[in-house]
Amino acid sequence: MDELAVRKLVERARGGDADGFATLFKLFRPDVERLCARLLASDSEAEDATSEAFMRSHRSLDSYDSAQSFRTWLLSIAAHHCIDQLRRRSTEQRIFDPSEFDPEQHSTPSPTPLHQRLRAEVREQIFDGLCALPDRYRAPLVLRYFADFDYDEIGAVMDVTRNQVATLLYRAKRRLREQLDPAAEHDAASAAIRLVSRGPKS
Amino acid sequence: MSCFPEFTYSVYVDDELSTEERRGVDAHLVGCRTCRELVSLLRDEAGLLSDVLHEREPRWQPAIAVETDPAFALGLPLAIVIVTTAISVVGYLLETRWPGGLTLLNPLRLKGAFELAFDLVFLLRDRVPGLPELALALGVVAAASALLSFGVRLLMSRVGRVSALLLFAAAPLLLPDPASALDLRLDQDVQIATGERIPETLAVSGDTIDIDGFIDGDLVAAAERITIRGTVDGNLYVFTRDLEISGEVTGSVHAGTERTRITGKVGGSVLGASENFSISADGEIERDVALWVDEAAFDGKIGRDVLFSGRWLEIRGPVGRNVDVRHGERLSLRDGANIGGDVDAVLEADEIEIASGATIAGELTQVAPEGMEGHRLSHYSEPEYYVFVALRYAAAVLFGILLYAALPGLFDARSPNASSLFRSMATGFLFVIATPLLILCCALTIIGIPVAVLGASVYIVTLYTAKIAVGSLIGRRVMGTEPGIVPFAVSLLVGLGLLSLVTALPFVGFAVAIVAVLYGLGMIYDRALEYHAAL
Repeated sequence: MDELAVRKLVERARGGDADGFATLFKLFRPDVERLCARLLASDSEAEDATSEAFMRSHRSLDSYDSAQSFRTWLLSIAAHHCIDQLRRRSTEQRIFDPSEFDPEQHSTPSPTPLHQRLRAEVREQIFDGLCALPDRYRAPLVLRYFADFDYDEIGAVMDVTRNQVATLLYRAKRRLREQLDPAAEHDAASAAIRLVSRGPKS
Repeated sequence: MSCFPEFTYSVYVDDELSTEERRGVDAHLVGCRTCRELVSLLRDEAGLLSDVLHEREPRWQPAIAVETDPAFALGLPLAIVIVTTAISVVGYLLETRWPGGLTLLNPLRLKGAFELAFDLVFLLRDRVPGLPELALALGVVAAASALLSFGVRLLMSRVGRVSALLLFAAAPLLLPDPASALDLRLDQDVQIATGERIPETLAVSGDTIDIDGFIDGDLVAAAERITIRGTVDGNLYVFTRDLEISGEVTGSVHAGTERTRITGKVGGSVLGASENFSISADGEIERDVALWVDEAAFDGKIGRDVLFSGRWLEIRGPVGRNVDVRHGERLSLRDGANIGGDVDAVLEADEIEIASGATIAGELTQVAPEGMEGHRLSHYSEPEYYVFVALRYAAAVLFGILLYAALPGLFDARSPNASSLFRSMATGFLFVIATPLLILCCALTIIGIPVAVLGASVYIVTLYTAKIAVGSLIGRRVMGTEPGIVPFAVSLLVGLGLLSLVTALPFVGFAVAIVAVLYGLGMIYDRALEYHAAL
């Protein structure tokens, strides 16, 4: 469904048309639910979070600025809620602790970037790796690469600055690489070349 | 110009550098092959992450978003039809063409069953020393850790971290003191000699237990052979192959045995399941006898009622009140039998034998048992049956909703395909068989009885939950899966309703129920594993 049709539905929903909102719900629920599941790494919580996100969006439908994409608006409501949930989780009370963002040697060599043309089971491994990442790393990756948020939008949801988003994403990817290939060569450039020559490019 | 750090390229690839920065990077890339390759790899990486996050269904993905497996369309219904048809046809043929053919599987038949269970458990204990202890340790650790981790998580998510920890810290204060009047003995052979006196409840596990002395409390015992020649001034709770009471038990006897012989006196009632049960002419039971026994012979005196279900009952002594035979093949009242009340027997007329020297003070009521087929079909004409089905249905729906409120994740199962159906059923079958054996092993150690009781409750609840889980799965397939408790309740109403209707059908229903429970157990197991993995 194109953006225009979505806008019409939003208008109808704003006018109090329950069917309009129900259609929006049906349309976007899979996306919202998947986002929540990936952020929370829990299906039961994802289901609750999805209901909560739709409830909140219904309440604040009037505040939706139609210049923005409805999907992004809706997903950021869901993401806000999920991040709150993650914060509430006891295991990592200080998930998004800003004190972590001390200036760091960003040029530290790291394992190689992941190569695109990998076989299915490697993709599974990557997915499992994503699931196993700590919340503070998984969240920005999911928001950036699943919800297609830009740094500002991620920062708004996670309550951090643009630069911190960049750092989190960079570290998250490095952590993921380390996790997938702990014995990786610690020279990015040479290892990258090795990966290209080895990669099963089809 | 020197190369930029990888961090900068990472942001560059995400198209989040300022215009100025981007120009600088672009300029550098023109002249640096290494950095161009790095950027290309980073782009690939970003694309890969996006692909992986979009394409692959996470393992905790609820059923709704899972595309129906093509195998589901044909394989699953086919698998269900094959299994249920096979069970139904075999059951029908056996019951109609070969009367008595299914008695081997009839749980009301005890011949051989007790012997088998005792053989297995005691053989395991003999040949694998430490097995009951191992089962107990595993049981304790599993039960305690499961309860604790579940409880802590639940509390933390519901009441917050600090309050949860406080509650757990306070928990030990709320626990009662351990019972002090308990003497626990775990030994090969336990003997309480004549003249010895145990002033408290005695709990024993061993190979042979001989009580010649006096126990001023209950006796809880598991052993291969238990002989009571002395006195137990309390109740008896025993699990043993051979039980012989020639002394006195002032309380009641609760026994699961292979053979029981009472030549002494029991002050209370006798409740038991056994293969062979006898009360000798000298024996006396002051109150009731309720038995589920294959063969029973009462030569001694019974103070009040006899309730019997089994195969064969012979009475030669006095019974104070009524004799009620619910199920069996033969009731013999020999010379000397003297029944103070009525005799009610669900038996064929030629299965009751009353000797000329036997007397019945009340009335003899004989009701022919309904044949298997008649029995199976007749209840459909009784209104009580439908009330019962409706009540059971309402209770199951209520229980399911409560369960959903506590553990919504339990019901997020995917629809099965043919192979996962069989795999889940195999898991369920293993659970059905293995759990009671483990529970029995735990109970054998005596100190493991609480664990065994806990395990047994979990076992029963899980069996019950299995059907509800399958009902919810069916309901969600029919009604769709809106999140929230109300849509869940509606889908459960529909799903369980359909399942209850099908399982109430004659012949087929039983088979469907078996499939549903086995599959539901496997499903719960899978969900538990996934839940654990997702943590």
